[in-house]
Amino acid sequence: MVMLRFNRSVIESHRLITGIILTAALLFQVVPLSHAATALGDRYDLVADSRASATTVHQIGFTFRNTAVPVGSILLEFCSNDPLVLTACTAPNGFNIAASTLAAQTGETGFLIAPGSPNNAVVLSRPAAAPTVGPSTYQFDNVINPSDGGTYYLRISTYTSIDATGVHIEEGGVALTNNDQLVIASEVPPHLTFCAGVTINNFDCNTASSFILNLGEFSTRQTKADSSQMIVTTNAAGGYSISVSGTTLTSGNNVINAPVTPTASATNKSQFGINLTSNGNPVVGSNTSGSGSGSAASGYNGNNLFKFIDGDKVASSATSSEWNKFTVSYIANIDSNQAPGSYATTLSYICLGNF
Amino acid sequence: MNFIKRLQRPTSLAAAALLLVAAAAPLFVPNQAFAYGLPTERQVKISSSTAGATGVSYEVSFKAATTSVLQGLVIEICDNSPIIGDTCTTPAGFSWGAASNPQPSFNGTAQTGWTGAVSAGKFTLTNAAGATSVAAGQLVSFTITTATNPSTSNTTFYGRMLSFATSAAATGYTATTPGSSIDAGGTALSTADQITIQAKVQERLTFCIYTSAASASCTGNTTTNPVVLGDANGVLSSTSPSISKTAKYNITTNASLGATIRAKGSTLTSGSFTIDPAGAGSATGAQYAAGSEQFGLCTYRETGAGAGTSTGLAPTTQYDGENGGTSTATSCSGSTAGQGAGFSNNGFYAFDTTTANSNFTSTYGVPIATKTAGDFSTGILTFLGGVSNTTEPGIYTSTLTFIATGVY
Repeated sequence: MVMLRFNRSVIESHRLITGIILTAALLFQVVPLSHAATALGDRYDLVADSRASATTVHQIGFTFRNTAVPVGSILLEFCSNDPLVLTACTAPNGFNIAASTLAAQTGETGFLIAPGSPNNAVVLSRPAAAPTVGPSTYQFDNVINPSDGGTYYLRISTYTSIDATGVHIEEGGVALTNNDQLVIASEVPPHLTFCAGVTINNFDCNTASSFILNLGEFSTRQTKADSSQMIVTTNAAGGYSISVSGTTLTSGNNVINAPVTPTASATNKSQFGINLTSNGNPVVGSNTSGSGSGSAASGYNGNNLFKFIDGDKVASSATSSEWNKFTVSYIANIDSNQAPGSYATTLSYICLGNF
Repeated sequence: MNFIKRLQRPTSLAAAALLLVAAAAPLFVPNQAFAYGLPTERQVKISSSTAGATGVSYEVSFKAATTSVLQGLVIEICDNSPIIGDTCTTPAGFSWGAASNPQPSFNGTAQTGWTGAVSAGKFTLTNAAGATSVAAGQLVSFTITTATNPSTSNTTFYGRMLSFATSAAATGYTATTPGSSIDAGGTALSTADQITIQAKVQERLTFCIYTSAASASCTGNTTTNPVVLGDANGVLSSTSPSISKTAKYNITTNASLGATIRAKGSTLTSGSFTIDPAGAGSATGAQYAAGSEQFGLCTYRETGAGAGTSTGLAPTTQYDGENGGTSTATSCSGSTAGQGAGFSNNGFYAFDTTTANSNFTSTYGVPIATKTAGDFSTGILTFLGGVSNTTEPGIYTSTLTFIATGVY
């Protein structure tokens, strides 16, 4: 009886020892191996787009430090909880690298994506070979970022096996962040800046001065002439056009004739005309100035040729234009039949932007 | 009957004599246990308690109980008992190493002329010519630096320390025949398992973009998009610079090689129309020029109230809003938010779209700042906008992505 109890005791002891050994073996698999692995150097994950849920490029880089042990696979695992290899990994919400493509690889190459990984991990596999010292990079296209903002982690571990099983050789973690984008907004309103005056300094409408031209007393032997100015700029894509509106010189029912075609100034002839260029006969006016793209309109751009038709376009630009300054020259002649009187006209220049 | 009585009397006397002799015997039998003084403050200080550790220093010290000239000192390590006179078993694995000549110290004064000898767990120091007297209460010490600890961990072992007036007495010492020591006493020691403390510091990177007030973290910050660049209505001017300084970022990391902040996106765009990047998209950027299309940015470290205090944030050259860390008359950090003459402070603003593989439109964008490992730093993003007279009308937007990448 005593002997029997002893034997049972021995058997139970053996079972206990066996259990302890098995437990120790399991612990050995879990704990000490993590301490044996060396750290991969210069680890990073360069992300092309850090928005949550963005489909983007991840370029993962690191340096192998253990060149003695062949590497047949690399496990890249993304976790939301921490970067510590061999601890439980919580997959980031919405993250998906399983459907990505290995678009490029440098340094240690020859890897292919092994099938069968979960959405938050990818295994790179190749025939085992000892790595060399130096940076290696692996670019993955079509990776979907986590749907949550903030920090998430990449765990990198290398194996001799081709399927990321067994004892890992080296390991390392990387922290990444998702972030909101920044949107800068501004407005450029349509603008047309136009002004007229007898004189305008440079391209400053604030300096436009005087709005009356006095041609003096007409003579059959001398052409009366004077000029005014106008400046214009616009961001209208279709540019602008400037037209003139008004009548010829008038005194009651009497008028000074306005040529309807470009005509040279001639004394002793009833004439009232304008143009937007420089003239030698009479000496009046200037060519268009400024960096804009505007120009005098046909019929009003000929030297020493004048005409006037109510409503005519006198200048224009086909595109948006920087500043231009137009100088409008006025000439008046009378013949001997011109009825006496005080002749005047009010001319309006209308600039229309083509937005 | 008388005979019997006669016989009984001597017997009684003999018995009485025997009792007397027996009672007095202890007075005449030498007893080693009481032949020496018991030193105080006895200790053997060891430099390592690790089982089997080698090169361990054993510093033996005690305060003398008896005033005497000393010519011999003994320390013996035992596995079983510290009692003087008991048998001594040397602990498994223990060794004093090669014999050496550590010189003792008497009352703080270094001595000379002492010679060491090793025998199993016993280390004997003698100086036959020694004439230095140690008074009661004075400290005696010596250190042996070549010991190997017992090989069993978490196990008590003992030291017996003795002093002798003659070197011969010290040399003649054995555990069970300790001889006539001046002082003698025991002490206990122990080997112990080493405790390994393991902790992990995980890779860390926290980065956020925001438009709320400057803060020293990424908690609670908010972003109001879009960030308006222009006058009160967001209208850009062809005659004055428009400046925005509401966008900020905070970053902290423990990356050993630091982190790089990259920016990526397009210039202000309205349909097919764009506002030219500052400096025509070159790497050098440009100062504000009235009447020119310009969109660019600079960045600098915020040092105002509430901002992150770490100084490890360094803008890259072309986006450096402080020209290397110092605000000057032409620093964009000195710009004024809003729209008006001089608001740009003649600083340089850039929006590089031309440098190969490192510009706002390349895959990973362009580095605008770096951050060394450390606590939160706060950066200000300052944007410049300007238009020409021919800039096409429209609502212009620029969507920018800022990416922080740590290298661990």
